[in-house]
Amino acid sequence: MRQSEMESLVSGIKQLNGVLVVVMPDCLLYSAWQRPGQAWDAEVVGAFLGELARDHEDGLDAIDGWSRVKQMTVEIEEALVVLRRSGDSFVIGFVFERGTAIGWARLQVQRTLKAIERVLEEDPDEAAVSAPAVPAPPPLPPRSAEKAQVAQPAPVVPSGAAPAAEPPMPPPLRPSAGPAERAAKPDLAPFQEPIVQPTGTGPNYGSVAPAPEAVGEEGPEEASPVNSEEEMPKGTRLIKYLDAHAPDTHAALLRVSLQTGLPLTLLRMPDSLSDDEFAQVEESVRRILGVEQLNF
Amino acid sequence: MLSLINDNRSHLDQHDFQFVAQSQTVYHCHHFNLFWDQTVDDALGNERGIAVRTKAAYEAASQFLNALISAMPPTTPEERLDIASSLFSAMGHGNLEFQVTPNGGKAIGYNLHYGLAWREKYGAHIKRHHPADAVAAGYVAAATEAAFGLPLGSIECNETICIAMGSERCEFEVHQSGETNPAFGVTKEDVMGVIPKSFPGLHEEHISGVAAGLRKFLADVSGDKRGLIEAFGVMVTQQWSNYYNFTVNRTLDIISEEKPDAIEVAKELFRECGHQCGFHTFGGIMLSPEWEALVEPLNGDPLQIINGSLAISRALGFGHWSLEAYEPEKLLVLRSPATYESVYRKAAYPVDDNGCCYLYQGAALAMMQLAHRVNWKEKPTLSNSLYLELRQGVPWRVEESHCVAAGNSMCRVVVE
Repeated sequence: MRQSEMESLVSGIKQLNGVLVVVMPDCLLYSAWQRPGQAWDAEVVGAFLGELARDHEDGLDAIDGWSRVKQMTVEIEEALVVLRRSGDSFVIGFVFERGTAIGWARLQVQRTLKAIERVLEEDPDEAAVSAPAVPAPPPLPPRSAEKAQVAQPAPVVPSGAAPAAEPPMPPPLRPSAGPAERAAKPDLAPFQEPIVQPTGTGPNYGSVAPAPEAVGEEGPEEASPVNSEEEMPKGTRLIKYLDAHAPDTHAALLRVSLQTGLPLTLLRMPDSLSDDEFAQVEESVRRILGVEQLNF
Repeated sequence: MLSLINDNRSHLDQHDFQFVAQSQTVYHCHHFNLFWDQTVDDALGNERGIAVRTKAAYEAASQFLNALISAMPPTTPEERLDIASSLFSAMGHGNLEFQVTPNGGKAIGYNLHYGLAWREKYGAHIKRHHPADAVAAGYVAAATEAAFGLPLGSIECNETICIAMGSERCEFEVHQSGETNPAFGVTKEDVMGVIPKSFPGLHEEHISGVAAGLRKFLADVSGDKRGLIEAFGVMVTQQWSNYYNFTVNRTLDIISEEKPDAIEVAKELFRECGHQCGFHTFGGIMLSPEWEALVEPLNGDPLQIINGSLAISRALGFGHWSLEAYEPEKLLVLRSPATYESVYRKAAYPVDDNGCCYLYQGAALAMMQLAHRVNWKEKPTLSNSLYLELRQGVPWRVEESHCVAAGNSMCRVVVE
């Protein structure tokens, strides 16, 4: 996963200071983004967060009927951290500023996770992680098998140590790296600035909205074979952009409907908008966000 | 100046309506106020939205100021302007400085409720391109007329610089309109003429007792040096209900004519204002130390939250909101002999088939949310982020089954 891809997905989220993708169960950093100015070591923090999740999962294994950790929230003096399991291979840690409202942080995680997972799925490195050339530990058993294992709970694994009973994991194909090392990687394509749409005939607003900070709400469009933001139809992109940036997100589409007079049923199928309707919606989104140009 | 308000304050006991002189007043928080004005502007466009909101504020303030000034011993124009400025601050709207003559002039606004609250809530994320203080603009026009004894409608005012647009203060231009306009809005007598007979609800004694205590407490609440009331985690204003009623009805009238397909969306957004009010204001009051001292500590019982919210709604002047039925997690039915929304509508409009109590509907839904989806024992912060979280996947729907404005003998909402 390219640093630039991660950055484009998450850097716009205020109060988010870092995202760490950790390979499980060996707790090694796979990919990371850190906001400039953050002094902590992504490798160390990634390992710590991975171990935290793994220890909890080991503990849960001992409880009949309880499944693996789906999401954990960790509050420490310096940060609010939300950990999410992503399939069998990863735990993703979102490091927010201290004092960030938990609900807001969870909402941002919920919005961003799908997009990160989609990039991970497309990542050839990730595919290799999922199907390594060297023998990997067996995939996590189905729930019924997990229950069967509970009769013989695994010993608690000390923090920092790999579970002795499990076969060794292959090293991650992309070893974690500090910012300088990551920047030197030859396979990192230069970050492509999202296309700035030409301005319409609206009022003379004075700024450009930032690139989307979050995409990927679950919805009908998620089921489409479209794989990246650029490939999405422009109507879908526009509404996703609105969702990501509008204040009072829950009411954003209602506001567009009221401003334009276009029915909600039509706005929920944004790719069926005519050119004129699309222009109305675009102008409405500009008005709601208070910007002259939309960068979606 | 609080004493002038309180000396002219009256309370309609059986209906939980409040009046200052001839004007019905209510308390609302900045979340409600901002979303309300935003909905008007979304519906009508910024320019026409400002015009409607300014006119609403002008009419409400004119009725209010002229009645109060008439009740006082004779005063000079300067004294009247001072009184107008002090009243504005006491009601939590910020500070106004008048530099006007009978021919016009200007006014300066400091820490005005709408502009400041907008900047605080949204300013870090959004750039605003139109002024926010139509309430102040209408008030300045009304105060100028009242100060100099000018014909009603002869003065216009518009905001030219606004704190919400990045300025340090707000400025208003005041000039002659070249017209007169006798419109005055719904009065106390109008309200008295249309309200149905009142009735009690479940847990009436408890709710009435709490409401009475809160009302007494609110009577002593006044703007600080900045002219703002910051309490219960929100910024509060005491405001003329005619402002809200004029704006919502005028907006829906226009939408019905020009964008009829959008009428239900507009109503949904006005309901959303009520939901914000319920969440932020009811919730904020119940989480406050004052609540614990005046009423009781929260124990996490949903019924405690429902009853508390009903008491608060009464103390804020929304009406005699009463509990008809409640089933945990499933059903909440409220009834009220009237609401401040329905009495205006009934007094000013012909009876029609539709309910008009958008605040009532939205706040009832919020009460169900507060009762069941907030962990009160943890003393949560009722932040905007928590609000957005709760707004996702709301498991209940609200409907207004009866409304005085639709010819019924009560206003009744069902959340299920």
